[in-house]
Amino acid sequence: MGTAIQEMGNVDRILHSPARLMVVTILYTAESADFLYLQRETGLTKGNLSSNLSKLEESNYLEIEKTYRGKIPLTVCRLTAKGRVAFQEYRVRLQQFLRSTG
Amino acid sequence: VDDDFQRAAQRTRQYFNVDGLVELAFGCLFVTWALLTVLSNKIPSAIHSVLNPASILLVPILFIVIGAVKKRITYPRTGYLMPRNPPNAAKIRAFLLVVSISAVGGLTAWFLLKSAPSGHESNVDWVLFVLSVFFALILAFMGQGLPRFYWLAGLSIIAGAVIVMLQIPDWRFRNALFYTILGGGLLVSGGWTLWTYLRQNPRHQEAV
Repeated sequence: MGTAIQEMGNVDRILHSPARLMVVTILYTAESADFLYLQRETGLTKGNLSSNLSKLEESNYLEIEKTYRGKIPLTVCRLTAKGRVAFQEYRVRLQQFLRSTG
Repeated sequence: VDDDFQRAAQRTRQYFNVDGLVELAFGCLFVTWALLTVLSNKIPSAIHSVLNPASILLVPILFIVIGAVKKRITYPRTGYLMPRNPPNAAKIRAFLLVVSISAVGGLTAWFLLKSAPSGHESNVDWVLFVLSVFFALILAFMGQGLPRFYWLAGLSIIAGAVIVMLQIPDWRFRNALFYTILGGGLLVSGGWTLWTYLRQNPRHQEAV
């Protein structure tokens, strides 16, 4: 029990935030998604989503591509290979913790 | 954790059907097939024999049209999402499943046609039922767990079964009736979904 709790101390802090976890979960199940889709699905405000996307990008978990749809700017996000691995490891760690404490 | 993750993955897959455009497109395809079937004895057989298989080519064209319409209707309203490319193992599994279902359906149809006594079409009728089950399986797969696709799959099976039981003598009318019912169901379902979607999701004018 003690070990399981201590193991949680090593959990990925970048992913261990509700907002970023929502974003990464969506992007893990998709190839890419734009800002509008992520905002609607997560329910975050533009500013909050934007800052969390920046944090994920700084950690190289996320690639952000800024393009245009006609004349409208479009922000398309996709997980990097590093981001995918980090999310897989996070899931495994969380499952192990829940199993050992459940 | 796993359940929540599976729900998120399923929601991502369901997004392709959020606007009803797929149902509308395939509804149009089925109505076209119904028209082609009805007109098959009125147009020269040479033209019909080209038109009938050519109508299958409409399927990839439909997906291109759906993509183009989504760019104008769906992405500005609820955002753009590209589904994840499935791993090769999953693609092979899906391919083998489709081939197996097609083979079983084809063999069943062949057996029914071959075993029909001359002058009796009762077994031939069942080919339509096999076809209705085949379409039902495709619809259930396309829906990715969306209830309205299960209703459409049920409609396909019920329509197939009822038409077989009615023992309508003219095969053209029989098949055209089935395509019209299924196409109509798809158009109603797609139309209702699109109407609801447009009402609930006004277009975003600002940059995203």
